[in-house]
Amino acid sequence: MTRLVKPPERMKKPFLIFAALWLAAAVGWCDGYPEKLDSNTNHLLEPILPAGAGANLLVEGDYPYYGNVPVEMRPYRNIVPHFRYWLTRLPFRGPGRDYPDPPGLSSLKIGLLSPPNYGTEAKRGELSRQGVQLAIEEANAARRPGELPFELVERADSPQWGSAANIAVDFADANVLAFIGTIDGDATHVALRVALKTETFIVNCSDPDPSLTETQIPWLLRNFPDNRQHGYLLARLIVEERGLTNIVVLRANNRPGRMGVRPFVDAVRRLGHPVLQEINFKEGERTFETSITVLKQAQPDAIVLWGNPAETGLVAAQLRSAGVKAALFGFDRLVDPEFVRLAGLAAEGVTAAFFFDPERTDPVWLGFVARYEKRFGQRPEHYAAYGYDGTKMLLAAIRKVGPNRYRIHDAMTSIDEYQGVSGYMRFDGRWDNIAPIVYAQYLGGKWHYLPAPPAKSTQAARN
Amino acid sequence: MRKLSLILLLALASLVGLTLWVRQTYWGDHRRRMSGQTDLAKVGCLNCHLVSTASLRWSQPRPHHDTPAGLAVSPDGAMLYIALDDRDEIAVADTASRQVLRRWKITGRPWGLALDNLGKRLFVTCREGDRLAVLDTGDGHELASVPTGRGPVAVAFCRTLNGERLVVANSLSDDISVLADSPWRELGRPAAGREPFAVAGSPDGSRAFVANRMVELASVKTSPASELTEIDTLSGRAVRREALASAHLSESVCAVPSRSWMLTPVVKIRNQVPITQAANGWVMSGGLAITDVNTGEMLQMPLDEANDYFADPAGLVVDPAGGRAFIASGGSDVITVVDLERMAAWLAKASPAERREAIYDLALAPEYVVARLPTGRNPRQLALSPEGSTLFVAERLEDDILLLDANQLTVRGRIRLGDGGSDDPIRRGERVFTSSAYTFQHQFSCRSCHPDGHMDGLSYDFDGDGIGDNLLDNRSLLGVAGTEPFKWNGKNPSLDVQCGPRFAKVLMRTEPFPPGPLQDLTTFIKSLPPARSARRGDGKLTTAQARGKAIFFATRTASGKEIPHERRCSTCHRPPLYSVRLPFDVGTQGTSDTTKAFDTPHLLGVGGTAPYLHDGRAQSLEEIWTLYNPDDRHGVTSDMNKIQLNDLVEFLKTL
Amino acid sequence: MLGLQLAGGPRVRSAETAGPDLPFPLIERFETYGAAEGLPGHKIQCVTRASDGRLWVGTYEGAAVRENGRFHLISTNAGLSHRMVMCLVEDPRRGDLWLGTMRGLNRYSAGRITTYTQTDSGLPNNVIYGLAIMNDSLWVATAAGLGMLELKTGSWKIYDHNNTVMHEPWVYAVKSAGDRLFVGVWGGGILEFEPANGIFKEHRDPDRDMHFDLTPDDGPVSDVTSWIAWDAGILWQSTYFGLSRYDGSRWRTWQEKKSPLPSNFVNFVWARGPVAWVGTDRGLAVTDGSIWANYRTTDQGTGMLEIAAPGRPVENRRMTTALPNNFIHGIWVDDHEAWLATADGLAHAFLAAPRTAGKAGDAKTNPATPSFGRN
Repeated sequence: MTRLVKPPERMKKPFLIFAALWLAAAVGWCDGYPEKLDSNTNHLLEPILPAGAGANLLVEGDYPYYGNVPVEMRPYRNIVPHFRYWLTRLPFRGPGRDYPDPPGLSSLKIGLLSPPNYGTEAKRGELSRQGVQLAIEEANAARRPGELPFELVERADSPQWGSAANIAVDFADANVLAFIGTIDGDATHVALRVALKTETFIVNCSDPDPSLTETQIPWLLRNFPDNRQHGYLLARLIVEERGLTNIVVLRANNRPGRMGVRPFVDAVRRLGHPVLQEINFKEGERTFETSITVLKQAQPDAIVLWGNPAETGLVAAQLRSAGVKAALFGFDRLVDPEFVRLAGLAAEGVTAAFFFDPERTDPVWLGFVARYEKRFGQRPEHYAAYGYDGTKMLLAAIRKVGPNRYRIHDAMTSIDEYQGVSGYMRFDGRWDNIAPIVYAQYLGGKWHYLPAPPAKSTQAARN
Repeated sequence: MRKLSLILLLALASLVGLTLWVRQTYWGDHRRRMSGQTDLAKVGCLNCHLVSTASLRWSQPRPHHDTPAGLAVSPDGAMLYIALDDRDEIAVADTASRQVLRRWKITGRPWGLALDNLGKRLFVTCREGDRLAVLDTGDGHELASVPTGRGPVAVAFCRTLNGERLVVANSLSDDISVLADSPWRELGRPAAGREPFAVAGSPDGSRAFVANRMVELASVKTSPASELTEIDTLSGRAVRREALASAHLSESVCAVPSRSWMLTPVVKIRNQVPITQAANGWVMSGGLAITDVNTGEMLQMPLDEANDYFADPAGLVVDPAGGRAFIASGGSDVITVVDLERMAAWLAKASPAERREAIYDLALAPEYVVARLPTGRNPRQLALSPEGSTLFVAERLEDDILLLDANQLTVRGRIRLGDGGSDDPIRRGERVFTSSAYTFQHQFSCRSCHPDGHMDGLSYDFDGDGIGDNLLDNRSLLGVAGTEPFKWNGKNPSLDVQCGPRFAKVLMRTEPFPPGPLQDLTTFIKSLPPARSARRGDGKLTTAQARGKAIFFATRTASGKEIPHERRCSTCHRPPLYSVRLPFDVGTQGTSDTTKAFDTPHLLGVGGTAPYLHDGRAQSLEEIWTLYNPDDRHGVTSDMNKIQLNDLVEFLKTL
Repeated sequence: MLGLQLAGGPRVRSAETAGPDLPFPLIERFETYGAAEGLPGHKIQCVTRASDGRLWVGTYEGAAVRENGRFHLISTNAGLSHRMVMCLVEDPRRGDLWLGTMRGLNRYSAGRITTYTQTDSGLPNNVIYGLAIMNDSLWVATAAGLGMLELKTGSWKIYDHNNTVMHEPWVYAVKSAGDRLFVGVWGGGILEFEPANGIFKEHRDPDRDMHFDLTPDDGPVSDVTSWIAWDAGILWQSTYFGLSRYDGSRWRTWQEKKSPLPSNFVNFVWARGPVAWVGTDRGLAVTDGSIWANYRTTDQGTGMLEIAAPGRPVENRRMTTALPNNFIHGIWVDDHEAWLATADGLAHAFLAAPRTAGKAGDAKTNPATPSFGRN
C-alpha cells in the first residue's frame, strides 16, 4: 500500500499545474483528436502590463490580426489563447457560383440602405448617398455596348423595430445583386444577419461600429476605417506620444457611443492607463454641468469625446468655461464645422482621429473633388468618398463576374487592397479596412491633418 | 329702488360682459387648444365634462325575460331542455303536456345545450362564464364545470373510439374547445374562423363541424368569406377550414344523415354593391350552404324568392331520414321547409356552372322549398324530437317554444315560458330590431348587419351616388347610448334620426318606422351594453395593460416632449365614454371621402370591433398606428417602440 | 448494408471486439429530393416532421408538405406571407404548424393560413429566425426581439433589450425546454428564461472578445448564437465560432481543428437524447461530445463518413450515397431517419438500427452497424 505524501503548501500550486499539464498531454496522446480538459475555468482576468512592456507573443496569420493593432494593445498578449479567429478568411462554402444569370435583366440592381432622412445621421447619409450615386452615374456613362446599366434601389431606414432587416428582405425581393449601407451599427448588424440568409453581399462605407464585422458572416466588406482604428490611434497619441495618463471619456449614451469608445478604452487599459471615468451624455443635452463636476474630480489630463458635434461642441466649450484644462481628443465627428462653431475657443488644440487628409492634392482626390463638385455643387467629404469607393469596388466586381450574387461575393471577398479616391485600403481577415488613418488638429482656426505616428512597438522593432 | 335697479342692471350687464369675455377669450382659446380646431360647431362643456355612464340606459336595471336560447330533446323525446340565458336558468319541459316542470339555476348566461346519448347529462355552454357546465338531468345538479375559451355558445356531444368528446364553439376567442371525459378537460383548442357560433357532430361522431358567424378580417376591397371548421374529435384538432364565399352570419350547422352533406344557413352578402341597390335585392339574401364532407365541394342554394325574402336564417335541423331540412328565419318569423331530395335531384341534373351560380337565382327556391310555416316573433334555435315527428322552435321574443308536427307541418301547441314581455319597451324594441317587416321585400332587419346589436365586420357603401367606391365601416351598436351624433360624418344627431328617416331613406326603401316602434327601437339600442372586454375578472389591469393605460393618458412622448392636447389619446377619446363625440381630422381622409373630419367613435369594447377607422382600412388596432398614422395626427405614436404599442393595444382591449 | 458500402474491404469487425458501441445510429444511405421531386426550390432552410406524420419543408421559394409520397406546395399565392421560410414548429395541442418567414409569421391550420406581421399584430419584427411552442404560448425569435403570442388570448409580449438582460435585441433562436426557455441571442449569448417567475439568466462567452476563445469549456464558445437545441437536459449552442454544450452545470466547447468538428461555421444543431446532430457548412456531424461521425460530400460527389473517437485513429469510410450539399441549414431526426435541409436539396437519411449492449449487434445480424477499427 502506497502512502501518499502530502506536498508542502508552497509546492502545491506548481504540482497541480504539472499534474494538469501531464494529464492534458496524456489525454491528448491517447486520443484520436486533441481532447481538452474539463477545466470549467471562469473568466480569466486580463493581465495589465506596465506601459512599454511590449509583447512576447506575436501572432502571424495569413491576415493582419486583431485589426492590425500594435501588439501592446492586444488583449491577453502574454497568453496563447485556445483558438484565434480571423487569421484566415471565412469562406462561403455554399452553392451558387454556377447558377445561371437571371433571365430578362434590363438593369443590374444595387440596393442602398440609407439612414432615415431625418435625425442626426440624415446629413451624413445624404453625403454617402451622393458618393454612391456619382459612382453609379459614372459607371453607367462609361458602360460599353452590350453592358447593362446599374440601377440603384434606395430605401431609407427607420430608427426602430428592426426596420433594416425588413429592408434587407425587400432588397432580396427586388433581386438586387448586392447592397450598400449604412451608418448606424445597429441597422447594419440587423441587415447583415438577413444578408447571410438571403446571400446578398453588403458593402459598408460608413459604419464605425467595431463589432460589425465580428460575427463571422462572410457577406460584408467595410471600406470605412472603424472605431478600432480611431481608438488605437487616439491611444497612441494620448499615451505614447503625449504621455497623458489621466484619461476620461465623455461619450454619447447610445449604442454607437458605447461600442465606439470600447477599442480606445481597452487600448489605454492595455497600455497601463485605464480610463478613470466613462461619462455619458444624452443626445440633445445642452448643459453638462453634472458630468463636468464629476469629471473634474478625476483631474484628467486628457478627455476623449465621442458623439455628434451638436453635443461635443457644447461639451468642449463648457469644459473650458468650467476651468478644465485637460487636452481634448475625440473621434472623427469632431472634425465638423458645427463642432468648431459650438466649441468656440475651446476648439483650439483639439485633436481628433480622422480618416484621410481631405486637403490632399493628388490627382485622384482632386479629380474626384472636381467631379463631385460639378455634380452636387459642394465639396465632398469622407462619407461621400468612401461611398464612392465602395460602390466602385462593387460595380467593378459585378462587371467582372456578372450578375451572380455568389460570384460577386467571391470577387469582393478576394479583395486585399484597393486604391480609391479616399486613399489606400488594406483589408484584414474580417474584410475591414485597416489602412493607416490620420489625425486632425485644430490649430489657428483650422484643421491640420497629420499622419499617424508609428506605434512604439513598431518603432522599437525598427530600432 | 331706482338705485337698486341700477345696481342690479349694472351687475347683470357685468355678468353678461364677463360671460361674453370668457366665451370670447377663455372658451374659444380652451376649445382651440384642446381640439386643435377653430371651426368646431356645436360643442359645449358637456362634450368633455360631467359625462357619466351611470345615467345611460345600458347602465340602468332592466327587466329580464324567459327568453329561450338553446334547446335539447331527451333521447326518448319526453323532455325538452331550454336554456334561458336572460334568467340564468335551464327550463325542463314535458313535451307531451307542454308544461315546464322544473327550472335549474345556472350562472354565466347559459346558451348552447347538448345531451349525452343516454340523456343522463346535459352540457351547457355559459356564454359569459367562459365555461361548460355538466348537469345531471336527474336533479339538475352541476356535475362539473370546465373552463373553455371566451364566449362559449354552442356544444356538440360526440362519441369516439377513445371516449366521449364535447366540442365547444367559443365565440369571443375565435377558437374551439375540444373536451375529453373522465374527468372533463380540454384536450385541444384548435383555431376557428371569426366568431364560431354553431357546432354539430357527424353521425358517427368522428368529426364535428363548426359554423362561424362573422367573415374573416381582410381588405375591404376583397370579397368577404366566413368559415366552416371541421374538427377531428378524437385528436381534438382542426382538419379542414373551408371558406364560405361571400357568406356569413351562420348560426347553425347540421349533418344530413343519409348523405355526406353538412348544411349551414348563410346570409349571402354583397357589401361592395352600393347600398342603393338594396332596392334590387343585390345586397343580401338568405341561403343554404351545402358542404360535401367527403369531397369538400361547397355549394350555396337560395332560400329567398325574387320578391319575398326570409331574413336572418338562424336555426337549422334535418329530420332523421335526411329528407327535409327546417330553417328558422329570425327576421321573417317563418320556418322554411326544404325537401332535400328535391334539392339533391336539382343538383344532380344541374351543370357545374348552374350549381356554382345557383345562389344568385332567386327563382330557384320553389324547386325544393315545400313550405313556409309562420311562427311567433324571432324564431331562432330549433330542435327535433328523436324520431323526427316534432319540431321545437324557440320563439325567442315571445318567451315560448312552438311545437310543430314535422310531418304534417301543423302547429301542435306551445310551451309557455314567460309572458312575452310586451310591456317592456326594450323587448318591444328588440322585436322591431329583429324584424324584417319594415324593409323592402323583407330583405333584412337591423339585426342582419348588427347581429345581437354588434357589428358584422363589413364595410358598406352608403353614398347615394350609387358608384360604390366609398365603403364605410359598420359600427357596433353595443354601448352606443350617449355617444351621439351618429354616422361616421357625425350628421345624425340622435338615434331617432339615425333609425328613423335616415334609415328609411338609405336602407329600408320603404316608409320609416312608425313613431311607437321607433321609440321602442331606440330604447332597445340604448339598452345594449358595451361588448365584453378583455379585462380580467377581478377588474385589475395586468402590468402590460397598466403600462398601456399610462401611454393612453400620457401628456408627454417617450422622449419627454409635450404632446399637444389635440393629439393626446385621452383628449378625443375621453373617459368614461372614451369619446368626446366630436369630429376630428386624424389624417385618414381617403380619395373618396368628402370630409377630413370623422366622428370620434367610443372605445368601449373596441377590442372586438375590428376592422377599424371610418372605412375599415385597419384590420387590427395595431394597423391604426403602424400603417395609417404617418404624420402622428391620430396620437403621437411614431416614437413608440413595439413594446409600448403592444401595451397600448392591450389597454384598449380592456375598455 | 453499410458494412458492404464502406470502402476498404467488406470485412467488418463486430462491436464486441472493435470497441464500445456507438452512442447513436449511423446513416446507412441518403436519398435526395429537389425541384424534380416537387419541392418548390433547391435551397432548403428547415424541415420538420409533424406528429401526424406529415413532413414539412421550408425553402427559399415557399413551403412544402409531403403527404402520400408527394410534396404539395404552400406558396405566397396560398397566403404565405413570404416565400423564404426560415423555421417551422408544430403546436402539438392544436395540430397547427407555424412557419416563420422573412416577412411575417404564418399559422397553417387545417389548410388555412393566417399571417401575422409587425404592422398588423404585436409581432416584434417581420424577420423570423426561430419558433418554439411552450404550452399555450408561441415564442418567436425575430430581428428585433423575442415575441410571445399567448395562443388562447391573442395577446403579445415582447422581450428585448428594453425589458430584459438581453444584450442586443437580435434574437436568432428559441427553444422550449420543459419549464424554461432558452433564447439564442445574436451577440448576446444565450438567455435562460423561466416564464413562471419571469427571471432571465444570461449565459455569455466569458472572453468578451470575438477574436479568440481564450480557454475551452469556459462557457458558450461565442456570444453569436446561430441556433440552439435542447433535449434530455442538455443544451447545445451552435455558432459560427464553433459548438457548445451545457448540461446544467458544465460547459463544453468544440472548434474546428481542435476537435473533430468539421467547421466552426455551424448553422444548426438538433438534439436527440445526449446526441447532437450538427449542421455545418462542411457537412453533418453527429456527436455525443466524445464520439463523432461526420458526413460530407467530397468535391467529386462521393459520400464520406469520418468516425473519430477518443483513443482511436480517425476512420474514413466511403459511402455509396452522399449528401446533396455540405451546407446544412436544418435537421430533423428520430430513431429511424433524419431529414437534412441543405443549400442544394433535401436529404433523407436512413439510420441503421442502433445496437444495444447485450444484443449481438454484429455484422451478421445487423450488417449495417459499423464498428471502430479494422484488421
